[in-house]
Amino acid sequence: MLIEPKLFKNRKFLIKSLLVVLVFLPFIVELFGNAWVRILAFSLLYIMLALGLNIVIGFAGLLDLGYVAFYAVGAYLFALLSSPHLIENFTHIQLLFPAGFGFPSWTLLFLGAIVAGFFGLLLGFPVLRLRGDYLAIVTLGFGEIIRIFLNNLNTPINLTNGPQGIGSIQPLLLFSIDFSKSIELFNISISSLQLNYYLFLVLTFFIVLVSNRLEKSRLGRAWIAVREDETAAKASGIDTTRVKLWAFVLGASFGGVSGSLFASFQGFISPESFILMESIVIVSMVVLGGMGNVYGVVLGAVLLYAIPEILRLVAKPSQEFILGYELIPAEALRMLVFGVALVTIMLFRPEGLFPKNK
Amino acid sequence: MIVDNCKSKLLSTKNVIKNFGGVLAVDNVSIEVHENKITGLIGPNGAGKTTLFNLITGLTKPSSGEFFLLGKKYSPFKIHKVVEKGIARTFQNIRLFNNMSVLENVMVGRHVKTNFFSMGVFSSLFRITTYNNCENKEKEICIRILEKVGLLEKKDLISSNLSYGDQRRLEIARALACEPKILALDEPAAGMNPTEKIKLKKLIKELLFEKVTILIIEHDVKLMSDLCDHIYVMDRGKIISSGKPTDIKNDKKVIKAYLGSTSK
Repeated sequence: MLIEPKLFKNRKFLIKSLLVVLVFLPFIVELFGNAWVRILAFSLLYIMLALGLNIVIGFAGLLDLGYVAFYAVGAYLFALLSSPHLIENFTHIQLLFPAGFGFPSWTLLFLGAIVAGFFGLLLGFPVLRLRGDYLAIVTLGFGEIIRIFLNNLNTPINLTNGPQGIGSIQPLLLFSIDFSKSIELFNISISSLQLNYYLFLVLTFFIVLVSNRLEKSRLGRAWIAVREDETAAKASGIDTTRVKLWAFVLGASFGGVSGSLFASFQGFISPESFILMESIVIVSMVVLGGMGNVYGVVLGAVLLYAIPEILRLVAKPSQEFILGYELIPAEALRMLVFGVALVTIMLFRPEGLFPKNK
Repeated sequence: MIVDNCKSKLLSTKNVIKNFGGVLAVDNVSIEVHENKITGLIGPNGAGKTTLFNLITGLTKPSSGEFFLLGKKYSPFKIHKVVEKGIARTFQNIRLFNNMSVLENVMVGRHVKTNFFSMGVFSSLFRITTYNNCENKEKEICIRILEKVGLLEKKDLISSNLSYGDQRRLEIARALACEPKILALDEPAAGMNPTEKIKLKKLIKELLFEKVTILIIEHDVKLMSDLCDHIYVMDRGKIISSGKPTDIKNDKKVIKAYLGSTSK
């Protein structure tokens, strides 16, 4: 609060320079290889996921350990409706859509948000009375149920293709831009990875804006009130049932959109991408960044995704450069550094890197 | 004695019973709260005062009994519904939204007075002009309430940083924000120093001018006899005495409940 005026003066400049950096970043990191652009794109995807979970955990204070389920719902919805899998396996659908579904990409993204939101409602209803650790266990179970369903729904009818996953998912086609091909713009070639990065960047900005506006709205205040003291919130006239359901639904819909983007970006998905560990990593992003603070969560998501990925790329070459041989295997060193970083941050900043109001 | 006038009777309970397992916390209690008066509820610890409060405000479900507001029956099963009907309350142990600013705390209290359509999810996302107008209007109302309780200059502080007395007053401000007909105060002076108590007394008396009826639990007998128009005394779940403060002071049953008696 106190540093606000000073920050406000530089704010426009800050945003402008950040924007310039973010626009040119994919071209700079491309010099080091495409893997780096991929890390950038995925960081943005995780920001969107973490911001969705931030609504549930950060704003409304509901510890959700099964958030990845909504990511899975969005991803599978997109995959099923834009790959030949359903058409190949069901003759009825083949008769209805002989030439493929051909849904426009934006409707699928929208549908991903709505269907995931509906699943959020499904999870929300039975857990309304639960708090804290009890809620965590039920949501954890919900996440596993979704994953196990996806893993086993290849029999009796092959709906999800089971552990083999769904491949040949059509890439996004928005504003007549095919996101799987590179395009030429003002004599500059923009690769498919970079295109996806820019799309994710725009959507991330949108989701940051939505998060900010929600937080400073009547609903946002009600969420925070429920988080701080549920009884007092009720005594202030808040219908906690409704408010919590909104949190689950809106949080889940963010996850659904990210899931759809993930499916289109990868071109292939399998239940393996939606394991419990993913949920835990996303929860860590929210907690480490600073629960309830949008910008803290953004930073948390970038750090927790990017640090292990960057270590994956640099661990081996840097050891070989310094020692002449690989002392610790890259995979082991990666998790070691990651773990130590997590413990250190939580010891010195138990309320996250950028806690709210401190 | 109690004037049995339908017009002045704002809130009443009839034969309310609440048992927790085998314990009869509230035993056949009927009370009446009259419009624009201060009604007090006193009694030794464990007498069931707070339980009765919780029943009236919908925090706990009654085992049996009837509740009337403005002569109409209401069922206090959901707190937020009771708040919508016009009964706001504060808590014995302060319950504020600790990480929110003072102003935001009061704005949460406006929840039932704000419209879901003009201030709902989608209008808040698109920030249409009606939304902004509503939000600004609400802010002004809350600022006026803060001015009334004397917390205006502290409106941007985080509520957990306030002093104890200020926190109590903020809780009252939050309860006032929903424009209640009845304000139920559960031990508002607990832990306050004498100066803070005087300020509180002044505030409560001022509220009467704004047509807020007050139901109050308090241990401070001096404060209660100064404030209340009518006092109910509870002991072991029952109303053992009621009347004007002067009558209560001399009631043998009351003295016995507080101090015990030597004769059997």
